[in-house]
Amino acid sequence: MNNEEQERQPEVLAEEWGARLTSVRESRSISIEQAAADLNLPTEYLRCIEAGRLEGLPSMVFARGYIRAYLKMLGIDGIDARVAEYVAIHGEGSSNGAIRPVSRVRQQVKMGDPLMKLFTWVFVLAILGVSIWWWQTQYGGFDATSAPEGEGIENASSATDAGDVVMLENGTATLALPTLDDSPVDEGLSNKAAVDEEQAELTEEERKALQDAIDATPKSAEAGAALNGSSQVLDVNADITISADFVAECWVSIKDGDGQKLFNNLRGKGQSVNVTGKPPLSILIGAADAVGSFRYNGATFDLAPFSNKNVVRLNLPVSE
Amino acid sequence: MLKKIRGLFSSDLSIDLGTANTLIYVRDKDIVLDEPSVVAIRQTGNQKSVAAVGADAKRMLGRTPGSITAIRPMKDGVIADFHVTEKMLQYFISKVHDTNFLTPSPRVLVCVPCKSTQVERRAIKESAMGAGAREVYLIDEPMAAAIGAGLPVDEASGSMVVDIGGGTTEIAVISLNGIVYADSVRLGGDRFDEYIVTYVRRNYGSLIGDSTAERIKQEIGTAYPSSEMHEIDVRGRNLAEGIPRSFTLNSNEILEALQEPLSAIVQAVKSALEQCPPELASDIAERGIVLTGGGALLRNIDRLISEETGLPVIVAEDPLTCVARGGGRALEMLDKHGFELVSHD
Repeated sequence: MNNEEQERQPEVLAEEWGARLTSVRESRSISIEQAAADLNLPTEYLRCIEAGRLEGLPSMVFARGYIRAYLKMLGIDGIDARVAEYVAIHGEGSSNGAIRPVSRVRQQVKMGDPLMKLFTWVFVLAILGVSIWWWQTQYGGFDATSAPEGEGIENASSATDAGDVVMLENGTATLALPTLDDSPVDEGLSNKAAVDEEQAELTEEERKALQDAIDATPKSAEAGAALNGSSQVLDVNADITISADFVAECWVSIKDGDGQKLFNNLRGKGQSVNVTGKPPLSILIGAADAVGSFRYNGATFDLAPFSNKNVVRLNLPVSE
Repeated sequence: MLKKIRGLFSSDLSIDLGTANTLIYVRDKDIVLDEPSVVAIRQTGNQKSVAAVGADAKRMLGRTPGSITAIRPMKDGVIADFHVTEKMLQYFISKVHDTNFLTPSPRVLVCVPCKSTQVERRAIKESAMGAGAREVYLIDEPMAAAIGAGLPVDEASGSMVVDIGGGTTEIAVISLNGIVYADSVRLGGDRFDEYIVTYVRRNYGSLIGDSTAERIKQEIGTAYPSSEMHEIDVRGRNLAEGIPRSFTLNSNEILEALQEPLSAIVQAVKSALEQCPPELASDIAERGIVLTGGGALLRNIDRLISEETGLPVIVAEDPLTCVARGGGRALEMLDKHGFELVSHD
């Protein structure tokens, strides 16, 4: 009951408010048509105002203006207070202040947008992660032993690739094999970065096949070694010694496995180069003719197969 | 870069850079500044410095010694003195920001007369930039006035707004957030004052200042004859005798004095209605014309336009601040939706 009264109250108030206007107008003996003509307003609007209905009027902005003009015409004092009263009864109206764009021409994505923020963070973290990973794989990070396991396999596979033919023939397979299990990781070779599982499996198989082959032909290998009588030991990690004598002027550049320049200079007639470094050594000799003798780990080495237009480029130990 | 950092400490502003008054609306607050667009410049030797800005400077208008000149840097709605306007804006912008820690660098929306030229717009933009704004948007004055008055500008129905400012009168028909027809008459409150000064000189042989003329207009000025008669005592310098004399003016005399500018405004309104597409004209005829701006406060001006056009005419609530408030609303819309009403040039 109480609620009903409260709900009805604004309507009652509005009617009372309008009725007061009607009584003032009638006391001045002005007809509603006359008033409407005076104000240049449709009669319907004045009827709505007097009946206290807002629905028949365009919007609160206009209603306020009409009421103001009407009150002024009727000569009622305190126009502002009366209008405020009317607004208090009816509220500001829904259309007031709800200005929308006709079409959302360009929906602006602000930098503060959480999605945008998240994306940026993910991107930055990804870049950071990739660069750390690259740095670790490239330079071994803080600790060489922390290199991923896949790289060990890769190293092993490269070692075995070389070993398949050469090592068996040269009888060094027995020496090469232990490196598969307990050799420290060679950083120089590890820049072939990503090793997917398939490749890992493949090398695993290769390793087995190689092991079988070695097991099957141990004698021949040993025999080969004995026959060859070579003192060459191709331990992948053992330092390599190179010495060369020159009979003419020649440019020599030797880099070790870490990419460090061991030697990079011009050698003249009668001069020699003696270098020991981490494998693989990358060697550039400007003039093949100028080399008198070339020794690799003490043994004479023929440069002719590596010479191209009198320039020798080779990596030691030689991989097939 | 520095502007961006300073921007973090600044609030977005909507500025109604009017000929007579400058109003600043701060986003999410309200109108925080309403001061006359007057700057007093003090000259010492070759050096010029700002002596006062706003209300203080206005009090000096016509009362300055040789070393001080009180300037109104805006004329006919556009910038007349670029540097002084810049100084004035700089002063106002820093005044609405409480912090003195950093020079504020707000985003600013400035209202410009709809018929202003590219050069005039550029001048306003540059001077706002010079005053420290980090971004400047421009909006047509009648559009801002319509938004500020609360008209349903986004609806597919015509609304007519007449904004009688200090320097210009802007008339526009608006529908669907766009201006269908707009006209700008370089006639406003200032011109009313001039006509009053001329009238007094001609009929009373006395010279009065602009400030006095403005006071006369505000107190007894009327645009349509009514039964009420108001009178005011004025003191002016008698031209024949050269001595200040006192005389009395009544509202009918002011009505007579203002006939010419008022009829020009009415004529502009009529021609706007003539140019208006019929559908929109019928919307306007049904709901009426809305008056905003300081000129709307002239007594019975709604009655005059209503009588002349035969249409209902209403005066917006708080007509002086409509433009600044409308600009503020547009600024809020700008962030939410990229409002199409606002332009960069």
